[in-house]
Amino acid sequence: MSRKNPLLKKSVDVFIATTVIMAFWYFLAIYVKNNMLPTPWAAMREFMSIFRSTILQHFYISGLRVVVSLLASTVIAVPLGLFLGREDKYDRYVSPVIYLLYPIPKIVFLPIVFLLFGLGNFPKIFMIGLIVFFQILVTTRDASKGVPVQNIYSMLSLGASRFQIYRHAVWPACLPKILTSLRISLGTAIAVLFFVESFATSEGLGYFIMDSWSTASYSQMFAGIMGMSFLGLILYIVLDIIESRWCKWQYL
Amino acid sequence: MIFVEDLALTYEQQNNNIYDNGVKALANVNLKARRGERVSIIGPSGCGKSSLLFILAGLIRPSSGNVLIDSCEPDSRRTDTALILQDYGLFPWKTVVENASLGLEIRGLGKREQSDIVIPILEKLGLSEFSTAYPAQLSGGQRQRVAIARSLAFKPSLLLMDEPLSSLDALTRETLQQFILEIWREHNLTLVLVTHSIEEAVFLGSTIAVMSERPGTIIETIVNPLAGTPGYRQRPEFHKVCSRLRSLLGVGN
Repeated sequence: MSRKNPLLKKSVDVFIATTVIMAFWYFLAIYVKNNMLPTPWAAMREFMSIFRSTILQHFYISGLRVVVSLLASTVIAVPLGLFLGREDKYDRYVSPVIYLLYPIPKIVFLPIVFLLFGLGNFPKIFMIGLIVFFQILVTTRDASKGVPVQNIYSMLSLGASRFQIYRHAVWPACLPKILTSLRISLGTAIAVLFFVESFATSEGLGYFIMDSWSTASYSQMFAGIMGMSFLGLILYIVLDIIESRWCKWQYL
Repeated sequence: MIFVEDLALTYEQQNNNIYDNGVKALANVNLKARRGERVSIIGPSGCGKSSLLFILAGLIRPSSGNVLIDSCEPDSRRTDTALILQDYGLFPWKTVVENASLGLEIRGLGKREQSDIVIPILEKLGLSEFSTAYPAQLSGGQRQRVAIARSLAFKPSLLLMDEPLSSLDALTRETLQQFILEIWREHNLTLVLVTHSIEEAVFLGSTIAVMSERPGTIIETIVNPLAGTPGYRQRPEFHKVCSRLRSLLGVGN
């Protein structure tokens, strides 16, 4: 029961939030009175009617691109960040490199990435991954740097090896902040996804939205936007579930 | 058991310049303790008493001098020595059982062997009903008992404590001081306790080492044979040693 209850509460919260957004959208649509902004009902009707035939397939491919790029950059950025936060020797040399590369709008490399990796899924995943990589890396490194030295001493006095210190003292201490960085990165990832999907592809929600726009089918376009919103929502819920499982101690 | 001779510790400065040769934390420290003795180390804050304890635990190396524990150089991997820190000793993301078995987990013991050792200890320390609780759900005194449970799991012969009770209220403090005595007696420990509380040093330490300001050195060793005996706090000898300490530390009159 205790496991079901928070889920129910969360669904109610999401439902209320959806209603508020819908209401706002509805009144705006009535006020604007232009077929460029359909009412939420029209968009929803469209969403339902084309869900199985078109949206689902675009949704699937977009979801795949976001999930794979987030996973890949997490797998690389988290261990590297944990390591750099603890080992000043290396951080001294790597930090300036990160600070030089981080502020560059990496999206400008998109033509080069397309040139190097072709037009398939990989360059898109690479582009999203490259951008969120830095967000995750910097947050993880700072979290790892902030682990109190007493925690480390406590582990050392128990005879822990370097790997055991990372496993028992550093990683669990940083996990909540890593999950926060993933939430922030998720928003970024979906924004970048839209951009990379608006070029040279015929798959994905980004393509679907741009395509509907160019053919002036606005309720279809908004159905695509709703699809993106759902994609984000589902992934946020997954992150929340991971947090409630792995960081129980944070919510006592 | 413990033998410290001419010990000095200088912390290297990060930004070394030619006028500054680093901070002298400890100089000319000499200390001896027999097996089964209880040593209180007291001194003004910043005198390096925690550094001295960390050297005994093998966590930092002295700059010069000799340190021997059971005729060996201190090594943090020795299981004979256990260290209890003031805070941070426990990990908030581990339950009481997980925290208490952490040392055994690090040594690679299986889950069954871990609980075979840890559960009786937790029971003994009155913590068995909290075994699945997290440290945040415990009181300060209970948390400190979990830390003690963790160090006892190794069956150490030397227990080092760095201001273990300083964040506790007076009542819990005295209960835990009594508790530490019982643990000491039952497990045949040698105890080294760093404290900034004069009463605690006098109540627990059969030997009291008084340290000077930085660079810390032991200016006086007081033999305190009545320490830990029942009702010691009420006896005139207790107050005599306390006021002796006060004048050595330059507080009061």
